[in-house]
Amino acid sequence: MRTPSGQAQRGRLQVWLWSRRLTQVVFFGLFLCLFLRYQYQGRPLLEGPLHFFFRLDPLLFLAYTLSSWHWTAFFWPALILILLSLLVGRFFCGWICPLGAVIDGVGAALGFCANLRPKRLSPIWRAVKYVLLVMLLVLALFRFDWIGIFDPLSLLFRSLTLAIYPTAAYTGERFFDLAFALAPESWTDLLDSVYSVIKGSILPARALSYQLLLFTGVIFIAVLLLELVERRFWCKNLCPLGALLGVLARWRLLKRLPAKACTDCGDCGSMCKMDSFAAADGWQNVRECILCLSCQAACRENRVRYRFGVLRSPVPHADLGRRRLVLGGVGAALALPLLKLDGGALQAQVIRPPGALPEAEFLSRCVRCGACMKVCVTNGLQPLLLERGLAGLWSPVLIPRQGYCEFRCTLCGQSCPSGAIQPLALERKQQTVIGKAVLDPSRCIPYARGKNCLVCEEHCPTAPKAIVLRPRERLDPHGRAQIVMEPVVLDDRCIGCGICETKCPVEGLEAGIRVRPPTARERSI
Amino acid sequence: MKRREFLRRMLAVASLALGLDGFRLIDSIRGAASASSGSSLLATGTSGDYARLVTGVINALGGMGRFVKPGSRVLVKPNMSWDRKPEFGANTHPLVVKRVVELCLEVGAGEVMVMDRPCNDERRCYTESGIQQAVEAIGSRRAKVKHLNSRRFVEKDLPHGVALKRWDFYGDALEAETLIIVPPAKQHGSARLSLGMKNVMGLVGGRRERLHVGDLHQHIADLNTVLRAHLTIIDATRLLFANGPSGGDLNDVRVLHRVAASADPVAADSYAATLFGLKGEDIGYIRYGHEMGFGEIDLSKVDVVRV
Repeated sequence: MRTPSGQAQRGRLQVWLWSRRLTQVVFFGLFLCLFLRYQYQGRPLLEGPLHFFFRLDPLLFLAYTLSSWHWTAFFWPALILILLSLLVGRFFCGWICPLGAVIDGVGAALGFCANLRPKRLSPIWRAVKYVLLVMLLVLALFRFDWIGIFDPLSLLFRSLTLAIYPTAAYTGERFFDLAFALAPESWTDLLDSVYSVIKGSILPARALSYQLLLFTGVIFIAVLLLELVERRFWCKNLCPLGALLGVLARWRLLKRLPAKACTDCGDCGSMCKMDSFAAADGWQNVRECILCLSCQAACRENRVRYRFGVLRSPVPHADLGRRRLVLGGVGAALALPLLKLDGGALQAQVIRPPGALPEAEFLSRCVRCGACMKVCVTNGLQPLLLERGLAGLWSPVLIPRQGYCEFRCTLCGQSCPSGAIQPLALERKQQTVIGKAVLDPSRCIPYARGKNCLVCEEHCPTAPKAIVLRPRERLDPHGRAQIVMEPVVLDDRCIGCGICETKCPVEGLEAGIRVRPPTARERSI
Repeated sequence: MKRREFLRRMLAVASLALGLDGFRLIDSIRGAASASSGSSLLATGTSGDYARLVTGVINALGGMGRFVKPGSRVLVKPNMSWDRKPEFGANTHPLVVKRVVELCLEVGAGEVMVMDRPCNDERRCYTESGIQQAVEAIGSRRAKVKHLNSRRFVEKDLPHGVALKRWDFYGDALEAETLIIVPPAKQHGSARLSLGMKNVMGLVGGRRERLHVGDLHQHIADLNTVLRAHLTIIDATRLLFANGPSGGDLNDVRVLHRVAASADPVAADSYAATLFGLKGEDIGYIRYGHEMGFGEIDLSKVDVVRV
């Protein structure tokens, strides 16, 4: 029997539940808005609280501290989150995490497949995220930093940058293609003005393409489709940030009452997305609870309460398993040589963005969020696969044939949340050598075909130009002598921006002038 | 007779605007005008006040109303191809562009479009050149700074082209009733000088790098068979005399505070060449332009009005 006051209370609980969902939507929306702001905004400097989510992330904070041994106030929001998590547990996962919001949304949308989900996975799965966290931290200590690869915010940002956004943009552009083709002539101007507003705000200012689009997209979709196995599979079993917050939640002061699943009902156990009532003795595992409030809103007897107080319930640590953790740590240490060994002298040399730390330090600091690749105005910054070994996965390099480094732009350094790419003042950036252009006389048009060309010289941005023209008498294909202007690269002026390679009119992927990575000596000048 | 009457009228307007003794000026010009009947007219002047300077020069040509009909669509094509600040002389000076747009609006243009197809990132070029802000500061809904939309290029035959037979041109440029080219005067590695006729390259599509291969000068002249300026306004407020067309060093810039304008694109470019100590004949595309009948290369046959 329900009393009227019980009804009112249930109403209030529904309000709480929906406030949580709304909060999730708001934070996800904020994440998307900030994501779109990672671009040239019409001013030399990026503005707004762009790094908000990265700064809030205790795992990235930990990764930064481990790789740099350096304290920075940049991550103070993460400290706040740590304190709050000590107080109330994993609320971040249920209320704020934008990846959690996406996963919840996908899970709800896949609700019709609920009968496909297996009954219950082995509790061993819960332990995976802790083992993963320990492995990542141990590896990070030894300067093999994959934390960003698993960090949920980094993963979401990277997937949006490299896969979702370019795909959405492509779809949008094709829609306008169709609209421009089908609309009557008189509508073209109207359509054009609509398009010019959307372009550069919602749609990117230029067509984007990334070399790991499919790879990144498939991994992202796989994370989402794990919802077919279990609700919040990623958060429950894999997320290292969830694991870190779970460790903090051990001492949380906000208690859920009853602390144990009631023996006369057990609904909590079956409905909990995080499976926090899995223990045989019925005690709730507070490490797993993300305060989603679903159990409270659904309780038929209105028994569920949240109260501050010292936690008395036993916190199961069976899923943590000290032995497993030690094994994970030792295993990671043993795997290190395998992970770190690279091709030595045979390994691909790459052009890192201007302001990038020295290679080893760069790789241990970079969190693979993809922000620099999102913000790059020419789309020239691209993710690596295995060219620099496993340690280089998803790290940014400049591919000049795709896009060059804009001479007066400093956005990548500003966009980097971890300092792997240092923000440079414009004057400093313009003197930073990221490579050196090398002419290929077998392809370069004046050399190879005896015709004038000079596009590289025209575009060379340094003053004075690093590419100069030298007149030379040459025979054309018909054997007639003529004066041809031949480009020459002056090494001491070239900074390797690559605009010459981007604009080179030689057909095909290999331009007549190509940028090589700088030697250590050239880089330091 | 018609032409002479026209000259008379426009000089009166010009001189009134400049506060000169109109009739004495007309009398002095009349002799020259009748001596070289049918020749081109070019106006030029110097002043640190670019708005007044542009107004004076255009008035000396008969006022903007001669080129822009009320309600018509006008395309003002500056050079904002480079991610450089105005003082480096790589782009057209924003105040010059602004005044040109204002003059078009004043004579009742229906729409004034300002656009370019830059070499550096479009957004950066539009804002760093200062041109976007300058035109937006006019505050007229008829004045529009537009980014090119790749769908609006139209492939055109060039029946009069010598080296080029087909190329893509921007739809707005083909449709505009008046095309006003406002180039900065600069040195250019392969073209030697980048002036008005060269500036048309900012309105064509395709892989423009290909145009540089072989005879760039003939390609430029060929593009001008389709897109020919109704009015060329050379912005020589600064000369970028070395390290062009992108520049980047103020030591390569000479401040002249000069503007020159003509309805004859060849005469305008030929005059601009003299500012660099060259002749129109020295620049391939100007010579081809003259040979193909776009205008007068010989400045002794051009009426040069100094304001």
